Amino acid sequence: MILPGNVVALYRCAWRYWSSHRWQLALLVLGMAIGVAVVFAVDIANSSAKRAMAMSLDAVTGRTTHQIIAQGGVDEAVYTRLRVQHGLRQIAPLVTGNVDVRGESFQLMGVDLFAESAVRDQFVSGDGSVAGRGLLRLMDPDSLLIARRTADRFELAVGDRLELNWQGRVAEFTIAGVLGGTQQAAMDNLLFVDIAVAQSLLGMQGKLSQIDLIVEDDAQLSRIAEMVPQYTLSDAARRNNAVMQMTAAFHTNLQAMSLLALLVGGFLIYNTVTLSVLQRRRLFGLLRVAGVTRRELGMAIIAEVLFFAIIATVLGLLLGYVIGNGLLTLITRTINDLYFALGVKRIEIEAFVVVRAILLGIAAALIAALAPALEASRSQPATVLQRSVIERKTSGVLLWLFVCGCLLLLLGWGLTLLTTRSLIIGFTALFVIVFGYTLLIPGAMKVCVQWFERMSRTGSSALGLYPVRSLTANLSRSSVAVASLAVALSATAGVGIMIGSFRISVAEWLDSTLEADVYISDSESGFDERLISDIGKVEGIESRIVARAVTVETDRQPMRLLAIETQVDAMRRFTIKPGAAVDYQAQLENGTAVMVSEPLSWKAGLAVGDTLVLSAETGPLAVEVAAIFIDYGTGPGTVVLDLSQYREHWRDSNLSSVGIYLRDDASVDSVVESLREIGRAQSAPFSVRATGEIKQASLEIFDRTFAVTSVLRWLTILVAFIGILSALMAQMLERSREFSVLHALGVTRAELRLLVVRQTFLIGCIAGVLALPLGFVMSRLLVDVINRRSFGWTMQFHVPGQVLIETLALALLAAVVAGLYPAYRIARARHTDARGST
Amino acid sequence: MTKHVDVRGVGKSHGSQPPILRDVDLSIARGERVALLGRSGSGKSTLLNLIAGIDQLDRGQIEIDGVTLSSLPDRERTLFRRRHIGFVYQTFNLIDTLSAIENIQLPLQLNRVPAAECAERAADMLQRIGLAGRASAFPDQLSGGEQQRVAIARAMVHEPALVLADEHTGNLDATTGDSIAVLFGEMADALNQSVLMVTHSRSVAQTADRVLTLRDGSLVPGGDDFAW
Repeated sequence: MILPGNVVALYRCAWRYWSSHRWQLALLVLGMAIGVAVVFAVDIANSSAKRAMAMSLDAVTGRTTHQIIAQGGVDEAVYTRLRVQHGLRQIAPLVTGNVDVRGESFQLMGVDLFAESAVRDQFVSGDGSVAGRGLLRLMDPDSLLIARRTADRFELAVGDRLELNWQGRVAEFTIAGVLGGTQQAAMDNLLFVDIAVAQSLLGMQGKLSQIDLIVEDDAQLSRIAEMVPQYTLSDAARRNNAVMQMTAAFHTNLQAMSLLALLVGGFLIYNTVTLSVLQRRRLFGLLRVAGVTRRELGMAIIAEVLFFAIIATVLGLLLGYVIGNGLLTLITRTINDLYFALGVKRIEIEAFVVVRAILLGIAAALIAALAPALEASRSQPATVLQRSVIERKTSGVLLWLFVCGCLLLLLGWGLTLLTTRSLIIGFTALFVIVFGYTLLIPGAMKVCVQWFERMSRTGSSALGLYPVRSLTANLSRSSVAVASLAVALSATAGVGIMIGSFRISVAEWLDSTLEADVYISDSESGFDERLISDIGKVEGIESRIVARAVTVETDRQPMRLLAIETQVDAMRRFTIKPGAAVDYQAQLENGTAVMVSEPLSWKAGLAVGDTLVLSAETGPLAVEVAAIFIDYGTGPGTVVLDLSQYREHWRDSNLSSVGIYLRDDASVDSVVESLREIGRAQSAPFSVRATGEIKQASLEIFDRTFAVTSVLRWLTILVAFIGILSALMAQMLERSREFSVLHALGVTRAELRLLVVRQTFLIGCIAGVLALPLGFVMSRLLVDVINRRSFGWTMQFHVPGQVLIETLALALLAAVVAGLYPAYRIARARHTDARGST
Repeated sequence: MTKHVDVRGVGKSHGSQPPILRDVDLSIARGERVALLGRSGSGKSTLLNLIAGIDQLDRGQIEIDGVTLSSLPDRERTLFRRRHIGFVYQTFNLIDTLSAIENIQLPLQLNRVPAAECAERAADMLQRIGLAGRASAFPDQLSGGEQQRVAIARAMVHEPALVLADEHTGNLDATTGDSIAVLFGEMADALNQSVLMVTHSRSVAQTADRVLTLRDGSLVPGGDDFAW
């Protein structure tokens, strides 16, 4: 292809320029690449986790359309009755629970081999399925089937032994066979055992977790419902969807955090391209004089940025793949901790995710390059030659920037008020506010610099004033570097304050909720009252509280029902939100009302005074919501009912947990050991844990949950760091003649180095100070808007001094470290030609 | 007359290129004003940089006031330059971000002159160059001639014994250039400073006590055959 001469000339100029500014180019491409990489990494890790989750749910669900479920499990006799008496054939029982294998979470599937093929295909699908003997061996009490990919990953073969851990109970199994092919990821986190084995291991003797069935039509559905009036017939797809929805907000939050990195990357691109335009002002002036049109000049700049954006995006995708693998581990761990047993180990890249990352990267680059391209193309040939014109223009637009910034802040604030539920609008408001604030930064920076100058005047030399004046004189460039660092730092401060506030709220919530000294807990099947009398014999116990926790269907969504003894002190462990019915405790005691957790109230739109219909065994139970209590659980939400009412309506006298208060002179460890001894003696699969241990484990999970956020914060800081390094390098190179003059006047190399570091120190100070208000606003938005809309949590707002100090320290460190190399370069340069331009 | 600057057998080349200075010998007496002529690229600025200690020579020796500058490490050479040498450039090279008076104060401050004295001497200098009313003006608010006046004041305010000027009238029109040359000469005389000035201007060269031409890397006396 033959390009027109003017195009060739323009690109030759651009090529020569960037060839001699390789450092600047490398930093531009690297910054853009990391921005794209972060977005892509979060996207692929998120989509891989979601896909694995969906596949896993599908694998468990199979062709099942409906499930018979019940609190405390379904009596296994019901299954026999449906199959034998009613002749249902598309039906299979399932006992399931989460177990740990080699530190990873797996879903244990207790299945009836002979009924399985009616609803699920895992035993006959894939690349040849399991050999008949392998399947039959599953009926042995210590045999299990494992997915081929998992077996390969753990380097296991048929006949090998494998340990399973369920709530501290360890059992060893022999691998009887492997399922699926090497490309089938759906069963990666599933382990299959015989149903009786699962019942024994999970403490569900005589019970089933659910009965899966395929219902042909509504008429058949009605008939089945009549056959099991005491049970809930749940839509399988709806249940799966509810599980997927639980993690939706978690994924959205991560995505927003990654977009922040891209936003900072956008600042970096804007900064570098602006600098490149400024540095080529003489060249552009000459080209304009020679007849290059504004359009040609603007397009040339856009084209070169597009070219670099394509390279950076390709690099970003590769880098994102590497980062994504790391993030996937963190995201999977969080999903495991909070929501669902997930064993995804492999990144699955979908085409649309790649396309989206490419488009985002290129769009961000082009938007960032638009302003400098317009700036260069709009200038007259004479004025392009003068850099001071650009600085003067910058000073001239400060007021406009201020006005636009204030308007955007108002718009962002207005958006938060527009709707109280939309998460997308919440994030839009956050980004509008962040962008609005960045427009205020040049003006704020000028004020800061003037203040520094006033401070420097007293007793400072002209050389002392030099770094301050340099910032003012290069406001157009310095302010963008400061803005990008300030945004990254504010994200650090904002997220830091949010996490700090959240952690304190959770810790206080745990303190008030977990009042007892030791807790005994069990699976959904529960343990019976006989255990209580055995517990009473243990030395050192003063009193106890009991509770029953089950999952129930309601007229809105499945909920966790917690039945407690409302007439005792158990009520004081709940923090009730203002607005509760005056006599809510009395209403709870007499069974006419319930309390709902705050997340449930948020998600289900339940307010005090609303009516909720619970599917009880005795039939629908309509209760009024009398109070809403603070809760930081991550499940579907909790509804609290009086225990005696529960027993009456659900005909279930089992217990799920017992909180034990010890006498002052009792030893927690010895009581815990005695209780575990009772469990072993009764073969009761319950766990006994000291309260301190539970709190510690909860806070460990909390910290693990935010590990991925920390990684994203650091990546954002890295992009900002590259931005500031790039800006400083360019500034220092541009001012090399001035440095040569100073050297000729007798300024030593060490003093030159100090000048650069002082200037970067100032940039760090200003960025740090300007980051704090935005960080504060961001944290309030995260606490009051984003978290509330994502999870329905309200939390106390704490501003830990440590976060503020860390932010300032990070600002100074990033800026000073970014200045070290330019300082080194300046000090090492040969200052022999103070006559040249640059 | 005592030797103030003594350049002996100095050679310098840039990279693998042929030597730009071959065997330069030059003596400047205290208070003497020497004009240095030469074609573009003949090595005039290189010689100035070597005498100022900004660049390092390949061979030979440079002594100023009995101090062998060429044997000093970079930091010592810089400190020597700070105290004893003033520099004036063709392109003025004022610090954009400092005002006229702050530019003039800079060498005094670098030499740790007390603040009050700095202010007084800089104001006096401004008065002498006729810019007393432009003290707070920044370089881009000054004309070329005004900028060069400030640059001369900055080069001389700390009263260095040696002033090096690199085509200090080259960027100015003839009239302004002549007035600057006169001012420069008067101030150097007043302070009994030795001057080595690179120039392409006949009128500036005529103000010198001695004229030398740099040709083929060596100095030859006179400038009669120089193509003005």
